[in-house]
Amino acid sequence: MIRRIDQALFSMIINHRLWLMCFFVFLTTLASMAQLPSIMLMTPDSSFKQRDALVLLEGQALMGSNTLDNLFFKRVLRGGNLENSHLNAIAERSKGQNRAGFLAGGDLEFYNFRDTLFNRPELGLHVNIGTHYHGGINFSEDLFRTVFRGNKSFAGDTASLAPLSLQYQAWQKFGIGLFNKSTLSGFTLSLVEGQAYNSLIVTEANMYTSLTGDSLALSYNGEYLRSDTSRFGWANGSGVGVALDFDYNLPLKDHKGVISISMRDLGFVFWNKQSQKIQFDSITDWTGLNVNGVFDFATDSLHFPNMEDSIYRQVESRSFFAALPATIHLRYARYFSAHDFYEAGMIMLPNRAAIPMMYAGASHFVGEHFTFSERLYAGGYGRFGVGAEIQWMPKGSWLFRLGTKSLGGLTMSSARSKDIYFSIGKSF
Amino acid sequence: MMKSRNIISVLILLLTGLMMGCKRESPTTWQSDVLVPIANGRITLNNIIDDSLLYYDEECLWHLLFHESLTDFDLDTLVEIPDTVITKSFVVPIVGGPFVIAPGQEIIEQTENNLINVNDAQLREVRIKSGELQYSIRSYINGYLDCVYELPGVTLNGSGTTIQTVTQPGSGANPYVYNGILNLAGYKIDMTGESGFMFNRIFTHLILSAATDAPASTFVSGNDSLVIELKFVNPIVSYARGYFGQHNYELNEEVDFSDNVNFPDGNLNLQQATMKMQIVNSVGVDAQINFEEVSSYSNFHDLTLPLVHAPLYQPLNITRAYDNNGAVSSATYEYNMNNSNSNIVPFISNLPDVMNLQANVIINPLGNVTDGNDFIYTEKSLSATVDLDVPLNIGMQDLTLIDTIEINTDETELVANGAAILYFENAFPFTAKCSVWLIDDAGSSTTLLNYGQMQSAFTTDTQGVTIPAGSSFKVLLDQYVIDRINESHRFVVKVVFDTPDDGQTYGLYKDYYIDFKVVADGEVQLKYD
Repeated sequence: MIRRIDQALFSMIINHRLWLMCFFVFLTTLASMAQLPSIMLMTPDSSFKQRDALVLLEGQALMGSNTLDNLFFKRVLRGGNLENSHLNAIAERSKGQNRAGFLAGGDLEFYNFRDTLFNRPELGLHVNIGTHYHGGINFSEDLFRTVFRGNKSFAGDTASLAPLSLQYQAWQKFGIGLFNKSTLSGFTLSLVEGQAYNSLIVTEANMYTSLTGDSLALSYNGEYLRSDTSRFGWANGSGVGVALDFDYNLPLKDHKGVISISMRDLGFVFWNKQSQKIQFDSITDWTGLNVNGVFDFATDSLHFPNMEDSIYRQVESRSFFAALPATIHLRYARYFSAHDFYEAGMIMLPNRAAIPMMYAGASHFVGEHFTFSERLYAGGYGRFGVGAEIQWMPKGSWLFRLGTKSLGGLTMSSARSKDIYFSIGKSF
Repeated sequence: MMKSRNIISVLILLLTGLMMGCKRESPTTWQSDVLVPIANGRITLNNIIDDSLLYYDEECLWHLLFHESLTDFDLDTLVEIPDTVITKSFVVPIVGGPFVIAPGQEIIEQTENNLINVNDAQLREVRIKSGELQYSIRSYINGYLDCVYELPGVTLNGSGTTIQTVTQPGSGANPYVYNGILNLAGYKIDMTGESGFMFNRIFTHLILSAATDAPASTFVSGNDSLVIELKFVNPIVSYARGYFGQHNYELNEEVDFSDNVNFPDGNLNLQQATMKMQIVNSVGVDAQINFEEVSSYSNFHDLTLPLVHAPLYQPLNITRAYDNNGAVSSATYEYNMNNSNSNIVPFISNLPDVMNLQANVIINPLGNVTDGNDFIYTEKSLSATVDLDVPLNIGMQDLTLIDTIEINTDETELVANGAAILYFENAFPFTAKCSVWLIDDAGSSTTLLNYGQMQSAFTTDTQGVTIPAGSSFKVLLDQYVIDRINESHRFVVKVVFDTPDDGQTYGLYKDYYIDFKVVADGEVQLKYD
């Protein structure tokens, strides 16, 4: 049976070079924290399950913040000048603690509907390869003001730069699992190749600026973990690990809907011995370069120290385990008319930056193979969003999905989130 | 099927467009209002003047203590030994031949007192610090000869020197040549000759005989000869004894003070000063010194000021030092100058850059009074030094110090607009005007601060105690200035000191200082590449 699966994969790759091209193009930019497209669970046309296999390409890119807007993200990502008025507006609306983050990546999934596993005809084989990027930051208002507005407004005062947490991970995974051909519930165990890891957690950081600016005092306490910096780039990382993905789809009685629970990337990565743990816990005073010895009325030379000279830190090269940034997705979908169903759900990103994202909305079938949806989102890295989605399964042989959690984010620079996700599937 | 492919193509184009839309086009920049300390420091007198030139007394008053060597009179030149070549030809004392000489039979035995040409000195003994004796033996005799050439007066640790070799047969056309080198470092050379009463002579003794184990017979004819050449190369004397002669020469020394102390420009009113001129004779010769002029010259004032101190210009008879087996007892003479017996205060107030010294010196004015027992250890000599002690009770008008500071920073494209604020706290009881400018490699300057005046500290009734006064100045740092800083990296700081114009002098005490801080205050463009 395995051999036949291999042959099917090989055949798919050879015969569908266009798909392969798509995969490599999108894999570098898009990601998924998604469950299965709802149309696959809610459509009355289950003919795609009668076919041999389904190949599904999924991708998503998302960034959001409760404070930073899309223009800020644009300037940071693409370059350009951040205007004073713009930064002042962000500073004014900042909360005590703020959040921002992004997700990106893509998955290529293969569902085998034809073969029987373990003499259980309802079980199918699921193979998945994907690449993922995740970053998040939780920062204080004072930190933003200090970095982007300067320390002058804190003259005679203390800026609380902590708590601060910043995390970035990139990883690729290859997984094999089982799924229930009827409910599409299943699990996948993946081998993970860790590409990069950075984690900064600052528990205490205060900067005092004297009234005349003649001294700065910085107290700090924190830890920075980073993976081997000599290895970088896609699939050339320095960590290895495992991850578990699972979906549990519980159909409601009389096919009225479905309750879904999904988890992605429950696992860890073991980063190699060239990784570094940097601890800093000290107080640094800066009163300027001391030039006592310079005025000897001969030609003298001064050399200003850089920031690294001033920050006391302990650097230790060591290996470590780090959890992958898992996502948990709960969803409830139920028909409220013959062609319409509503959805409500929650996406949890259990990290220091994000809050749970709640959403609710309705979807509408136009015919048996096309739906459009509108949803309201709240939380995650951003605030609120009005999302939309279209899904199309022509004749049960193709699947197209395109959606966003923030329609405003696609066009409005003042919106505080921006995302797009898509799925392209083909049944054979 | 075609429709599906078209849809995929549209999606690819859309998403690729999104991806390309994220491409970074330029650095991210923003402006921040910063208030950052740049530099700080404390200027005290011992920052400005080298510690070795300062001390403070029991009242914590600073004194300038200055020691300078004026001259060492170069007496070691009296006993210099130039490169010298001694060539001696020894002729076989027979007529006719050739004769066969039996093994071991002596052919020549001869002593010599070889003259070393040493200026006007009559040396009896020298010790060599470094140098070489290169020797060469040329044999024109047809036979194997035992050649022993003794220099009993050239000793190392008490042992005489012998040059010994067995020559091979030579001829008039093709002599046998034997060469060697002797390192003379540490050697003592007796220059009294064979009698022990001569001078500038090195005694040698040659014994030439047929080799006892010669493989062939030795044939000797009349007029056969052996030539020995001794060559003294770069001999440096560490000690010499003898009569060094009577010499009379003019001394004209110019001592540049700028290497040791950077005297400022301006007018300095000193209350008092003392100067000790000390002449120390560590050489075993008598001398007479007649100072003709001692003067100071100030570039700033373009003024030459003679030192007035009557005893200084009287002939000074200096007795010889005594040598007690290497322990030299020097003869010392001092001139002590102060406010009452000299013009030392105006002499120093002239802020001299150069001191001129003109004198007439006679060595051994009474002749050879020790029967040839003058001596010199060349590391010690006849020298003149000055020790200046100036209690810094001073008045100053436009006393100017200038310093150049080079800032080494990584090349940065700093975009900023603001000011550098200079804070001063002055504990000196006088004002100071501070100017700062940038200077580039081409010499063009950009003024940052022009005569910013620091307030004088407040004086109290208690001796030397002041209450510091604060001053601050704002230096514009706009983009033009920042670009100039990036180009030049060199600041020039000029400080002009003035005490109140009341004719009084003010003490400079150990606790006086000027504290300064430089704070950057302005909008800086930060950049993230």
